Amino acid sequence: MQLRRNRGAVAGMVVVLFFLLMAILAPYICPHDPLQVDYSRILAPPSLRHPMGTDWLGRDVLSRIIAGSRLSLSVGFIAVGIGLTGGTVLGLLAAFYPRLDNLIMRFIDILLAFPGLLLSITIVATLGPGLQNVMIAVGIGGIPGYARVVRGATLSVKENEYVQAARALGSSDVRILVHHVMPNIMAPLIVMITFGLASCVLSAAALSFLGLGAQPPQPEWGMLINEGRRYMLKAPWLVLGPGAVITMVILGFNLFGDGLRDALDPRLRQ
Amino acid sequence: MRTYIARRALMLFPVLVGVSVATFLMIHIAPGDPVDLMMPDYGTAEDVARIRARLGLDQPLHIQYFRYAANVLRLDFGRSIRTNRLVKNEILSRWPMTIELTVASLLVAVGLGIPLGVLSAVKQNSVLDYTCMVGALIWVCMPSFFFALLLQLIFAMSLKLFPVFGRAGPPWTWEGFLSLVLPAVSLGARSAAILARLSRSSTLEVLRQDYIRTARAKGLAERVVVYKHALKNAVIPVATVVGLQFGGLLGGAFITETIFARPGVGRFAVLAIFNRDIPVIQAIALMMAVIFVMCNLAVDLLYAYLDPRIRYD
Repeated sequence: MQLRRNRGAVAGMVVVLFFLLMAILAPYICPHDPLQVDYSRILAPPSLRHPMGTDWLGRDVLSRIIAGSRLSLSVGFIAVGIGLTGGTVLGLLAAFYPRLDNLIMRFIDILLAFPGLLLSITIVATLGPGLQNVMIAVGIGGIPGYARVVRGATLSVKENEYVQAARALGSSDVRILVHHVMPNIMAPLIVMITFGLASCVLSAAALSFLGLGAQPPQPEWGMLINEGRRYMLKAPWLVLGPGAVITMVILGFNLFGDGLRDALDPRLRQ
Repeated sequence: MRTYIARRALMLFPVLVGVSVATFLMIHIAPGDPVDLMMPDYGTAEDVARIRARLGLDQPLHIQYFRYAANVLRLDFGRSIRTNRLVKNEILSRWPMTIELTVASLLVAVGLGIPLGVLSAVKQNSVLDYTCMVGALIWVCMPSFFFALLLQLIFAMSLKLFPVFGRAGPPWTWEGFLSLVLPAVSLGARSAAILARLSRSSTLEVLRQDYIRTARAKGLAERVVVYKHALKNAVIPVATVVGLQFGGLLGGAFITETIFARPGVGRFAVLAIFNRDIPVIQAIALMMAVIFVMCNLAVDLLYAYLDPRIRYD
């Protein structure tokens, strides 16, 4: 496979797999209890016992980062799931039913009018702070992107002869969509999902950093940085550790996505 | 060109109406009754009904919307649920600070991103190219809030070159300028990275074109080929993305203003979210969306002006 020849993509995949494994195995590999307070070791610098130091309650930072990988990555996956489902349904409908097309695309335009993080922030503001609402908000923020790609891909797939053949054989719209259109738009979609995971993890961390997402003592990455910044001068490891980890995860997803794009869909190559 | 402008401006109208409907609905989608938030604990059912009537919340939804839209056109966003002050005044006094920050970070993004991207393309596969592209990749992946804290830690807390927090004055004074540097750099870095990658690939694309080969073949100096023939064409696609980046920067101002304690609308909005002060959030979201949409229109028109082929699609 072409993917294996791309060194960046392989590195990205290794990083992503590493963090996924970390998230799955989190309860078994934490060296300490991430919530265990230890007043005798407050703000201890990195050592053999605590490789990434301890926080202002003496909790082990490494354990909190490992436990946090579960929250941060699952928020990313669920948000992508929400955006993907919503975007795919809207995109397919818009491409398949010209009467709905205008309506749906105007709706997408309205979502796109709220730039960047603003859409997610506005939704969290409406629903109220909390990790669950962050997933919904970041998910909805992803809908326009998926809807546009799915619509575009479907419009071009729809014109193919095998779709017309299926229609001539009397297949229902749903059957055509599921069996003939979906498999053929998977390539751009998979690439988008990989990049989407990066941006969703990033947005969710940003919202948690603002205090709108995970609430203490949940060890979510963005929130770890937010909590740590009060002690930044005295204990910079509280910010540096989680910050480096988020950067690495995003880097992993982006490199992997670049490689997938080159391998799966040469047309998308920039 | 005139019909193109008219058509694009007409397309704007449904989007603006949609945006106003979306912000209008916020107060109805939000869990909890806004009137309850405003009421002291000793408020009676009659008090609640009276306030509800005063705010027009007892009217049918479409009447409420038309009233909201009419008010918004007069920049009347109602009163803050928490402070009971006019939202308009609260926002207008903070708005210049946010525009100042976004424009400054856009200058950082454009001023760093485009030249570095073009240089990387011109000197493709050089040390400079690799350094810029690895740097750009890292900045695209680094959360802006983490980068902001790094800058704060290194340049403000340790080296003490810049103030850690606050806005010390307007940017044309020395103190004000110093207090703007770190926020603008931290907010603009990601956009700079995106613009650098884009201008690099766009320049590489243009340098492969036949007319560049022609320019070289007729013996023009490489400098003239690059800066006279290639640069203009390479920058056109980048220009559209600059508009998009401006929107991203507006959204990012929420985080940067919070970290650097700058008195702009972003920080005000974050506080409003914690206070469930929906009128404030409605107004800020609406104004940012309108500015962003207008900005995109301006960029589209600029694009059509720069590249006449666009007008005939």
